[in-house]
Amino acid sequence: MNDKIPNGLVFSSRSPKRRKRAFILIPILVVIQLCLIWPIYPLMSSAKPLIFGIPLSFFWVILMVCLSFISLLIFFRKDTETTEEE
Amino acid sequence: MADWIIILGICGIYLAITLVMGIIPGRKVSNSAAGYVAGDRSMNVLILYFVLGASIFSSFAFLGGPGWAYSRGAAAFYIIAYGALGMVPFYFFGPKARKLGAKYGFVTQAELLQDRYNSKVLSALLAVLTVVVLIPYLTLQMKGAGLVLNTISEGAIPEWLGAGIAYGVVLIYVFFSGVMGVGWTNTFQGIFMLIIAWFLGLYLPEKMYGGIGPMFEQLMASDFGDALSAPGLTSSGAPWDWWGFSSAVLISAIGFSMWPHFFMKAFAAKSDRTIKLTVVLYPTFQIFLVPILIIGFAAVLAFPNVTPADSILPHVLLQMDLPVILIGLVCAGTLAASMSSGDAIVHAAASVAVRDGFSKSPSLADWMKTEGNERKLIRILVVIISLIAYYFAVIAETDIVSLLLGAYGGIAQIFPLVFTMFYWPRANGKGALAGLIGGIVVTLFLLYNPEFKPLPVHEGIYGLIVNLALLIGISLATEPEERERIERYTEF
Repeated sequence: MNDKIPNGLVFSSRSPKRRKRAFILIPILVVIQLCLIWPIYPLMSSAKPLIFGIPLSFFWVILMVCLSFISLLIFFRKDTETTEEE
Repeated sequence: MADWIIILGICGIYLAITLVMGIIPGRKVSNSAAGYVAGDRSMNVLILYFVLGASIFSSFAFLGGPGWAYSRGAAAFYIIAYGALGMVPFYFFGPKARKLGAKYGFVTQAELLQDRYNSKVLSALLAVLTVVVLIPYLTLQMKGAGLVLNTISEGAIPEWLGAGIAYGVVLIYVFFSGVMGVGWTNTFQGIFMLIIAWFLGLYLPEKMYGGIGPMFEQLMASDFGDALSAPGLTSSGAPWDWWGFSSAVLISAIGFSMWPHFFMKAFAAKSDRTIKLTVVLYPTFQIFLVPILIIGFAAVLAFPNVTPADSILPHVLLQMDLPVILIGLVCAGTLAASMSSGDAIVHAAASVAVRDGFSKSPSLADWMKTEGNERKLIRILVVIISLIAYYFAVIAETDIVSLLLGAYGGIAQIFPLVFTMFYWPRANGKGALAGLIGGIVVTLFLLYNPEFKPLPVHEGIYGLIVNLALLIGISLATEPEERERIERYTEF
């Protein structure tokens, strides 16, 4: 703690563990988002083949929603284990 | 003849249940503004989940979603792609906002920003922005409700009457119960919508093609096959480009959690855990768009050339030989989609107009200190805003859709301010104000003059670039806000 207001971004310093986990989560989510737009989604953008009866382009989007759900769920479980009493 | 009376009867029962569910909870909250606007900060996970989910799934989802799939193919995946992560920022912003709200009595997004950036102008600007974007949004919901009742009654109920009945019910429960009326009805409406959507999304392909797999196989073999490859088609039917698709997804994902009627629910949540768990569970609501889009795909081969594409769902219902009870339930489900967004919107617009607009006038501020007066004023605004939107929905011939198109680009401009509010101590009021105004001006200019865009990406992206440059540049060039103010928001 000093008197000067910092020039850079400041993320929570109260719980270094949580900050570390957030720094793992955010890049994962960024990759998931990139999978849904250019440049990654074009690789999976074809309608063929059908997967479980659904076009690949559609299945891919649903898969990404599921992945974001799972990563958030894991983060949430760790997160509330430690910070609940705050 | 008798058929549509049964259908309308089912819609009537649905409306009656909604009305009762909307009025009951209002008796339990206090008559303060915190009670009316933020439900005394008591919402649990179940209610918050449905409030946030159902306010996003508006009549756009029920009518527009199948319409997009039907006319634009894979472009409709955009709706799922931006929602996948659009809510995540709320996981981090929401609990911070909630804590500050409980401590200092904030109930709107603008109150928070005004305090952090120490700027009344910012608050007024956000109040105007909120009301300006929410009224056309509400108008569209009303039109959707009117359209459904009109189509189903085979014209016997004119659109003005249909919209009037549905939104009369909304007006009553929002007026009496405030946000808790919104919460309870959205829970009921949300569950109802989910069941209807899944049932229809599985039933229609089964009945028409013998299953979802065979349906897509036939679609792939047809002329429509190419449209199933992302990013699908534009509204004019030409192939959509990746610039347009990607930037539309990004700007919508960024704007998602910034909608005022959405963000301010952070102040209604009971605990941090409630907010976090709601965000985590949200993708389960998002998956509900899958059957919605399948409804649109199912109609492609069976009912070619239906215009406008948004009327495809009512069209399918009327053309197919479906049990009359089912049609009634689907109509009620569509009304639920429209009303569960409309109620949150009218409530937010009125609350923001009063808290962030009128209360800044000194004479009114005194009057509002009397117990109950502030709630009285918000209620008056609920009525006025409903009437304005109703006027646009049934009387005025304004192009509402183009207004709403600009709205997402404008709403996304709030994001940098909220982010720096919590994570960049150096951000100050001058920078925030310049960034927001600059971002909105650029977005609007490029919306109406697209020939000036260097690349064919969403105008909101250019707005964000200018917004960030101004916010950072001007904040660094001027003095920071005072230390204790910043310490409330950031942890350094």
